[in-house]
Amino acid sequence: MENNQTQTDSAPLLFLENASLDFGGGAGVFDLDLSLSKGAILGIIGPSGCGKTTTIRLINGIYGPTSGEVMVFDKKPLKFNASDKARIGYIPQQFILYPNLSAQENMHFMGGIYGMTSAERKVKIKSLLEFVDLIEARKRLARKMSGGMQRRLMLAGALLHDPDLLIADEPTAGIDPILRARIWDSFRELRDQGKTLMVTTQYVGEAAYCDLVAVMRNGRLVTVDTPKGLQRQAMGGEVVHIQVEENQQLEVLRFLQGLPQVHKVERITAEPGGLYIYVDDSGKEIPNLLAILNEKQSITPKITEPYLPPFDEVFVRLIRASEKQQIEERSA
Amino acid sequence: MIQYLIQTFSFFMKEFHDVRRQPRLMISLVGGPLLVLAAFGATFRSANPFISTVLVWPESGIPGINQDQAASFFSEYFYLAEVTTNREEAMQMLDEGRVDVVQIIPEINLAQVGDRERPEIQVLSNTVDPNAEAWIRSLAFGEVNFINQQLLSQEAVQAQDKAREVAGELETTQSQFEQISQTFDEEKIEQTRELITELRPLLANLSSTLPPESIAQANLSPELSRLHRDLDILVDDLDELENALSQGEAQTQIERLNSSTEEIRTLRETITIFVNTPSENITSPVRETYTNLRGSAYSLVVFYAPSVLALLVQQLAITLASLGLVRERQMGTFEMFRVSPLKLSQIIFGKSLAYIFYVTIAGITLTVLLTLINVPMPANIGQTLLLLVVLATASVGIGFVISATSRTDSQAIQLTMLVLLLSIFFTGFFLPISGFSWPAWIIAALIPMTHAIEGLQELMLVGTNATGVWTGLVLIILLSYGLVLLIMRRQYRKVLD
Repeated sequence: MENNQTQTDSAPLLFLENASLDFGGGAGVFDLDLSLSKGAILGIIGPSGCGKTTTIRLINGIYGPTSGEVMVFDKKPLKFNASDKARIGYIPQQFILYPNLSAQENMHFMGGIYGMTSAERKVKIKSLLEFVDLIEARKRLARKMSGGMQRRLMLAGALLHDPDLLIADEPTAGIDPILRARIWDSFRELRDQGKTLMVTTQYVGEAAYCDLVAVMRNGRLVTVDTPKGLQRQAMGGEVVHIQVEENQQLEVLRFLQGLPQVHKVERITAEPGGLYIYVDDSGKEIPNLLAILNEKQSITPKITEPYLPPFDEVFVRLIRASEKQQIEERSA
Repeated sequence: MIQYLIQTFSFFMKEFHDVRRQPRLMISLVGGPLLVLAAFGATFRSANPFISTVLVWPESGIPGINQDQAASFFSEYFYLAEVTTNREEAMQMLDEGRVDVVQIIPEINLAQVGDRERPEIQVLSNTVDPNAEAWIRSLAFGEVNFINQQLLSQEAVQAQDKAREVAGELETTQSQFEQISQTFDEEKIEQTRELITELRPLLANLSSTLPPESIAQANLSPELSRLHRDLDILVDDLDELENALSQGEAQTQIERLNSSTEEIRTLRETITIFVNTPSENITSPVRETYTNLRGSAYSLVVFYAPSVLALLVQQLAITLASLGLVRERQMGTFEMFRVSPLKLSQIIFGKSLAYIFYVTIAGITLTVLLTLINVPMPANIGQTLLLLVVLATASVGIGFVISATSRTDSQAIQLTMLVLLLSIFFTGFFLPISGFSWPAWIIAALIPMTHAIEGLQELMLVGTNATGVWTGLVLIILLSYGLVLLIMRRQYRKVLD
């Protein structure tokens, strides 16, 4: 919700309208509609090859769209001048720090190419290495760092010139879950400092860290929404999880299906007596459902709670729905 | 402007640290070639091909030359494996590869030389090396000259002996002619005829003993030519004297007698000069003297040192630069640079500065180390430093062209090796550029080393300032950097294609 406010309260920092980049042969990205306001994290999630990196390259000005419009800082990225470019911090997918340079030297180089003076760099490098917890390893050569350290060093390098927009292409790829969580903590901290972040990832679960999530498939945006909105979209509403006695399960299922506020009831096969109840608003409906079950069926569930489906499941459902829609459109 | 410099300098520092962290690279690139040069200096014997030969000497020998003399002469240029009189044995040695050349010296009959026969020295080899073949032919020519000289010299000595003998007879005849002339009458006619008759075979004998006049002309021997001429004049005069004696006019007879007497005197004088002339002056009247106004030439090791220095500096710069852009491209850093406010020129110039810095340091180190093998210190230190910097810059430019046109490290290395090969053949390193036709001169002009060799030789060997090398090097710099910026601008824009 906070993100939606951000979106409405200020002009978008970046804006894509019907933007396409057609490489031919079905490759590229198509009809992208997206906007992101200052101080938010946009996650782009999708399988490998779905167009995440191409979308990023449209935004940072490496590519230009073949149709539609891409605007960042109210400018076309291909027309960026040096000061516009200095407002972007970029972490490419590939590890591109110099292996024979220490962490500190790599940072100095990164600062240097953005025109920072040596004195400016020294101050910032110290604080940023502390921020990414690499201050102890500042003299270590990049080639002697672990993958996680290298990623964090790249993050620090991208932040050195204090960009307004940080674009990170799969910054958590190949990193263990604990470190991924740390990196996302850093992103959220940056967001809280007022930075805008655009992060691609293959890890669907990382959608939870974002303010806004764009799901991509085959070069197209399946949907763009808040994490909670995605869950709602995927499940067709909100879900209430209840557990009753196993012998009451069928009776309760039939009863609930007859209620007008209930869209659908599903048995949980892995959980004896478990049911998912699909409603518009779980917070509002849980007390009602408990009261009705108690009153009409004299049943009090053992467990009654809102169910937040994991993002893996949300993602799969959204993709399947998209595929189904595509097939229907084709047949129509 | 300051920001431009900061950005450019960040590349300098990056490359500086990168190369600094690879000390083995620098040691192998600088120390390795220096060790090779030292090994060359320590083991080099001769630039001439090593050719072993067997000499087949005629059983009867050669007049005027003994076998030891010939062996000693032949050993100066060939490794004389054996001297034999057995031709078959020598040919077998050649077939078995035990020797490179067989030289067969024929029987030489002095009496027939210059007449119908022309004895032939056969030089046989089965070499596949064109340099060795040229060397063998050149040496064979020298040997033939040597043998010819020896033969002619011997003939000249024999002719001088004969001339001395004839000169005595001529003195007597001259004196008798003078006496007859003073008291000439009818009775003296017969005495004169007798003297003429005695003199004729003597002159004929001398004439036959002298080396042929054609040799005299060919050898530009004035003494020998004069002797031939004076002999002919005297023979003609004696003919006319005999005619006059037959016709009976006393006055004419006396005049002819006096004329002949005069010709005899002239011939005697000519013979005196001829016999007193050293025989080698008669056979080889012209000889050479060589003076090196600088004192002497350098040893081959020292002579090649500036060329090797130029080669090392060039290849070090090309190797570093050829990998410089390819590696960035392979690492994917161009993508990051494209997003940053960096300009392509800053990447190129920043990297260039670092490479030029290292290569110049290596060049200075090598120049100092070369003095350990007695290579003179350059005449003008400042200009040498400038030349090393300009050479390094031009070579880095060439390296960048390679880097810009290569997709991978290995492609870049292959092209670097190709430049090395071109440099060895087309820069005057071993083969003079003047020996090639004009297309090769264009290639030579485009290789920095061509100009650097000339300049370093002037500075280190001749001891003067480098002249005429700057324009070529500056043109290479402008061309290579212009080309790199052109190619890279296209690639930089299409960085991800």
